[in-house]
Amino acid sequence: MSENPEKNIQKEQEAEKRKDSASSPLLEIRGLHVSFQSRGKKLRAVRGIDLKLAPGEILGLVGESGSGKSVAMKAVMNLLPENARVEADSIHLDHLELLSLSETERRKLCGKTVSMIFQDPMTSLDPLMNVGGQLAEVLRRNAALRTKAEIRERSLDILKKVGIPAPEERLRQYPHELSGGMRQRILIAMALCSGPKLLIADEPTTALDVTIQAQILSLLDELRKEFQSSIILITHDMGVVASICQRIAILYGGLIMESGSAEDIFYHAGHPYTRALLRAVPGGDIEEGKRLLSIEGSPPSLMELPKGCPFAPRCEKAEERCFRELPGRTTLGEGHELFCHNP
Amino acid sequence: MAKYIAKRILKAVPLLLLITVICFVLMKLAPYDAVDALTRPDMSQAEIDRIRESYGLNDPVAVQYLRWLNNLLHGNFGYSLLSHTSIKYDLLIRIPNTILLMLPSYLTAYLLSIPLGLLAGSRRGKWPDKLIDGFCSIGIATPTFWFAMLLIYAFGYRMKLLPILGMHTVGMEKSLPDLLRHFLLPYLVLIFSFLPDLTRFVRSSAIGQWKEDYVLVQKAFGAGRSEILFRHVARNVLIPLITKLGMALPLLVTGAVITETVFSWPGIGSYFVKAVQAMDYPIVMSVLVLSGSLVILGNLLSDILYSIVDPRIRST
Repeated sequence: MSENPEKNIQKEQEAEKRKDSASSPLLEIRGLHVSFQSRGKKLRAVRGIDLKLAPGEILGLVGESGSGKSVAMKAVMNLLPENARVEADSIHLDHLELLSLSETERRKLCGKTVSMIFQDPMTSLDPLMNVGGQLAEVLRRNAALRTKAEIRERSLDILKKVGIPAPEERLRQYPHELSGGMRQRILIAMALCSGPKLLIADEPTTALDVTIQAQILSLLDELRKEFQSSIILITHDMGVVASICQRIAILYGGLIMESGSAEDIFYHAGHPYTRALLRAVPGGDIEEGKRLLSIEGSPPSLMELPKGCPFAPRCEKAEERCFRELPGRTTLGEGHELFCHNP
Repeated sequence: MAKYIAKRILKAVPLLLLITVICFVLMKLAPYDAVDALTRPDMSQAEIDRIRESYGLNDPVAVQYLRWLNNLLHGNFGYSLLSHTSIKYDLLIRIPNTILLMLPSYLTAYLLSIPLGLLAGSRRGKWPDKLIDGFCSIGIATPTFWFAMLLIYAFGYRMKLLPILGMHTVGMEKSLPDLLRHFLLPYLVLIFSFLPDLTRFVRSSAIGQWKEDYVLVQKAFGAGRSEILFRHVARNVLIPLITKLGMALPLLVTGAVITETVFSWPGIGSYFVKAVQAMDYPIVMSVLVLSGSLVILGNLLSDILYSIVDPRIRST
């Protein structure tokens, strides 16, 4: 009982905060660092990134493997293995400071306020439990449903929403009986059970074939509109980003290289890395026998990161200063930021 | 499903035949003459030849094999060369004794290994894991007979608490408490010999399951560790453990050879060891065929169990 007045105050505060939520970000990360301790060596996967996400917005997090995009988002979800060290100035999600919450409190946000779907739908479901059972478990926990009839009704409803035909039949089926695209839809359904404010999609289409990719992406966009959730789409595919993202952040070597609106990135890219990425996207003018463009060299090892800009060794415009010190922030326009000495 | 089981059973038949062939050939290749066990040094060559002829040992090998196989199929395992008792009859007395010892020991070890292995596998590298895994290492490295001797020395010789030989005290064949007192030491020895291996199996299987993608996904959907453990990991760990159950079937007959011998438990194990020492080849062959067949049956059993429990196999 003694907690009640406090809770009321908290609720009022939350309500007030919601009023101006249109302007305040849903997720705000400041100074996020993640490192892994592995065999006595320190592997620095994320080296101080700032991110902001407005409610209802869809943000593309783009980078090569090892750029830290996935690790950064797992840090938000508190899903990293035990040997990971997460440090940040703040991670604000839906008016909560995640860093001041306990493990259990953070876990309870997962699935409710923020949900995540992953790269490989083939292995993301428990092979021994039928679809209905797995959905029911999530509904019971995150949507506070109790009776079997309620759960069944909601399961069918949500399966229809994610575009699964014959949902009654699907509930009885096991994951191995379904195709990859179908499984990813079911995982999306599980993630959306409680109408989370934020959905983090970690390369959700990488393991699917191209036609299914497009379907899943447009499904995500539809659901975002319907549930008014925000989405962070982690990907290495510029084409995927172009099709649905409003804002884009480009990561390299654990740092954000450039961030801005889709238009900023695609038409006014300032960073040499972004421009190189865009050049590497195969366009309509592919000729037979002509090699696809790629960026020379390979991403830096996270064990021995250079002192300066991580992209410098592969950058065509690199100068001596680039190897010496990390570039600071340059603001090119409203929300368009750049980290480069020599754009 | 029925088709799958029928197919597996049909496939088992040629294997069983192969086992009988191998057993027979092994016995034929053994570096002694079967007739030696029956003869005495003072017998004349004519007498020995007569015995050889009467046992059919002069017939072609194939004829001998087929005759033996035919007998086996009619449930006739032949007679002991030494005691001239029916092997079938001996086995029928001794198999229940072995099962009486093996079944409770194996089930105890099996049931203990599940919580121990899950605990160790879920707390990998933490003290419960170190404790359990350490125990397993010691257990695997300890020879059964040595541990049996240790218990005999401590409980039988030093403390004089428990009997060290046989199944019953003479004259108390019907007494259950007496049987239990005889049962306790070999029971402990057998648990100790099965538990480490089973626990290791559960542990490594649990470690593997915790690394699966679905665990991470469950975490992302807000499931707690215990929820993931009991609703998902445990179920996925138990399925491969079912194969162990099928594989354990032959143990019911031949799993306690050493323990039975050390404790003079009147089961198949000690019977087999005595037969080997006395070159009583009909017994050796019978036990070999029996345990070989049980291996096949055990495999068949675990395949069938698997197909019942695992939805991925059930539907194919």
